[in-house]
Amino acid sequence: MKKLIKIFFLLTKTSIQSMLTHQIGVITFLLGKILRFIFYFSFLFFLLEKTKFLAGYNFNQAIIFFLTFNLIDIISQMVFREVYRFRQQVISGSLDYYLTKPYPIFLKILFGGFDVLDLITLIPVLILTAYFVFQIPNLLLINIFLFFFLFINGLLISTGFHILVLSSAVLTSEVDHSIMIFRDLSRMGAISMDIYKEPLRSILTFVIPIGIMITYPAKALLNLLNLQSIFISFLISFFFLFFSLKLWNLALKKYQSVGN
Amino acid sequence: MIKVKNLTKIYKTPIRKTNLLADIFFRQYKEKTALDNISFEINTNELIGFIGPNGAGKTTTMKILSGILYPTFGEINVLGYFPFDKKPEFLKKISFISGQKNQLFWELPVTESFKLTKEIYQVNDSDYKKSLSNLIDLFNVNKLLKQPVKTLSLGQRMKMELINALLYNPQILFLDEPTIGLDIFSQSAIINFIKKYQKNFKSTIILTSHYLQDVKKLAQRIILINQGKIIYDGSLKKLTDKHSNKKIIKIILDCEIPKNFLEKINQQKISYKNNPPLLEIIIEKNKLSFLIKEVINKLSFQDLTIEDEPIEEIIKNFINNQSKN
Amino acid sequence: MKKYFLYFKICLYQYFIYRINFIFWRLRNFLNIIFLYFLWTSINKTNSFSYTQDQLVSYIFLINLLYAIILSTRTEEIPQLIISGEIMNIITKPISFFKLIITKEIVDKLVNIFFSLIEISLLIFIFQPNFYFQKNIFSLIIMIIFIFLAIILSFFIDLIISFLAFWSTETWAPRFIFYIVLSILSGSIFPLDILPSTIYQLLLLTPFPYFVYFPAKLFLTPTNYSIISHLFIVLIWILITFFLSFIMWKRGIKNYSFYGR
Repeated sequence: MKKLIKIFFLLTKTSIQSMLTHQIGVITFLLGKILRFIFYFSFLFFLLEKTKFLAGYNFNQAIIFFLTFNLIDIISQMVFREVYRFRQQVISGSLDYYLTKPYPIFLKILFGGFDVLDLITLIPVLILTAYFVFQIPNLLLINIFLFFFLFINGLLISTGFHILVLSSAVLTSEVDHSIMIFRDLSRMGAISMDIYKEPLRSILTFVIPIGIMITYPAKALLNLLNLQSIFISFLISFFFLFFSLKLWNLALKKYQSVGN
Repeated sequence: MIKVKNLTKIYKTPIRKTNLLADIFFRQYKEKTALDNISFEINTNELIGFIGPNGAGKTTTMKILSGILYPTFGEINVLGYFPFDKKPEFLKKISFISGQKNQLFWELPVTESFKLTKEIYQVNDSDYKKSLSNLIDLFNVNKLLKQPVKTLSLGQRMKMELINALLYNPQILFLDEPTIGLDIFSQSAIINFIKKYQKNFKSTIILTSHYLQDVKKLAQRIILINQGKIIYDGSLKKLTDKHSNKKIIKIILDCEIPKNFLEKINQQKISYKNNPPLLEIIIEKNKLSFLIKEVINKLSFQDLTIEDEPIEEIIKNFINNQSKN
Repeated sequence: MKKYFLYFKICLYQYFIYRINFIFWRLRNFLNIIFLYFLWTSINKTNSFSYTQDQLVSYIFLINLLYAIILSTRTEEIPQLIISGEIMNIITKPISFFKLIITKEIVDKLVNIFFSLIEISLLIFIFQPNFYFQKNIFSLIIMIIFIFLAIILSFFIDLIISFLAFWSTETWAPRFIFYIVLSILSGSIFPLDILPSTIYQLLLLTPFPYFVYFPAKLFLTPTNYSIISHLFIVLIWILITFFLSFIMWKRGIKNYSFYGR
């Protein structure tokens, strides 16, 4: 275990070092991310100034959904940044090397590119979230606990999605930006699932578990979840992760490599 | 150490036609048998050369033996493990290098990559220091350690890749075209290094290369693969001796070729190339003494060399003959 | 001329070679429209905007279509050609580099428009919303003029960003910022006039609103002669961007050098 942690730190360190050799790129990306967040936040602000309710939620509640989405989005990108480089690693043949290394391959291709830059954008979002959370009336400790558990649950689902993306690149390196589909899907949950009509809402919540991932933690804070929903959400994330791991193992068996 | 029995690997690739609609809706797949029921055994301290035409199945075999690809059929046992399981204990004992493919961190100096390798393979500090300094000295790359990998030439990079692969003293070394695209200096440096390494560390080395001169220098035993089948498994010398009955005689002439010499040659249906002052004669071994006598008696020359048929020709003819049968 | 037609066919074919890639690409567009459609239909239940429900729905579909017509581009492939040196192969052939680029753009826009229309129709078929259609011919003509101008403006700006590759190997960074700024300021998420008035007026001096938002607005609300000032702004931006891209091209090609592999 200690060895794995050390390898993880070394991988992160070299990833950061490599990133720092592209200084202009790094600064531009950071700027872009900050800009984007400011834009979206102000948009929401202007919007809810003119309309008092959005999908049945007031400004404070809508902001909680939005901020939860941002937290999961930013943390997922921060932890799984290496997945964005995966397709290139498959077609260049680097994947073959990773497969012959004596440590779990996910340590490299899933967790190996920890993006420290996203920490910079994460901190203000955390502060904002804390601020708005404490604006919630009748907030109980249990809500905060549930929030944390469901947040972790959401990250597990995010892990499953990223493993699916990795599997798709191994099975057919055709797909350029399968990770972007995940980003688009998660963005659809940015302002709760209640803007959608059935059956789309159920599909997006339970079948492609975006809803559970992004909106359930916020709903827990706002006291909108019953015990049954919470139980189902853990069940679904467990099966989803299990399914994605099975798919990955299948993908490896079907792997044909390049340049033979 | 390595036991392969009835190994088969079949690839499925889509067939692309130029008809747009057919490609989208009625896509067909083509099955290619990359390896067809091959079997062989390799023991410790052997240096094997895998040779064969492009697409013969050499790289596929290497990738199955190192666990990258999953075999369609067959039994594979490497150091007692099934490679595809990728058990860490197994992976720590092997090393896989592909020529022209890079696994060092591109923007950073090599030392960063070496440090990571040390941690991954759990090399202790003293062994690491010893290995590293030995390898650096052997390749004479001390001055190159601090600069980013992307600034190194291809030859220098390949040396670094080798060092990175040998830091932890693997029992089996898979080398897939290690010298491809390299200049002659780097090429010979790497080949000599491999030879020395194997002598000192008694590891098993499996090498694929299109440069048959390299294979000749290194490999005691070769496995010749063509179209997924093993057509020869044994010593290279035996193969060349058995399947080449030709010698090549190169003569640098002092004068014009006398007619009576040419008549005799043509009578015996011996083929030759005349680019004055060079005369090249390709002759079967049983006619050699006859020809030499003729040359000495009838020609005036500055220089004379007698060479074996180039390995490439021998192998090419061997493969062609096998395909015909 | 025939060689460009052949190139046209090759470019077209490239879209469909990778089936799954193509499906995923269209799926992304489809998801995007769905998201915006539901977002705005639910916002609109309690709103105080100057737009009706019908108009907002039309706005979303229109924005998507206009994106396909005006902003779809393959110019992002140019930096790679410059950095890898491939552009030299093209320049030394008896073929016009810019005619090739424009052919590729035409193919890209046609494919985007075609499938965007299919996706919008699919959504209309499924959700059966009411939407608004502009009946004033004058407005429609003015809109079409602005669409053409927007295509030209967007082309030159894309060239400017691409030609940065002559001087820097960072290809994705400037484009990333541009796309982010564009996604907000082009009106692709919300109609720009819901912003406070001063900000709105300032924005109209930049080229951003004219890509997508302005032609869409022309569709939704009839115009008057104040249009002339906006026409001038767009034409000035076109001139500026044309000259910038022209100078960058000339300088870039002259000083061109690239590193060996």
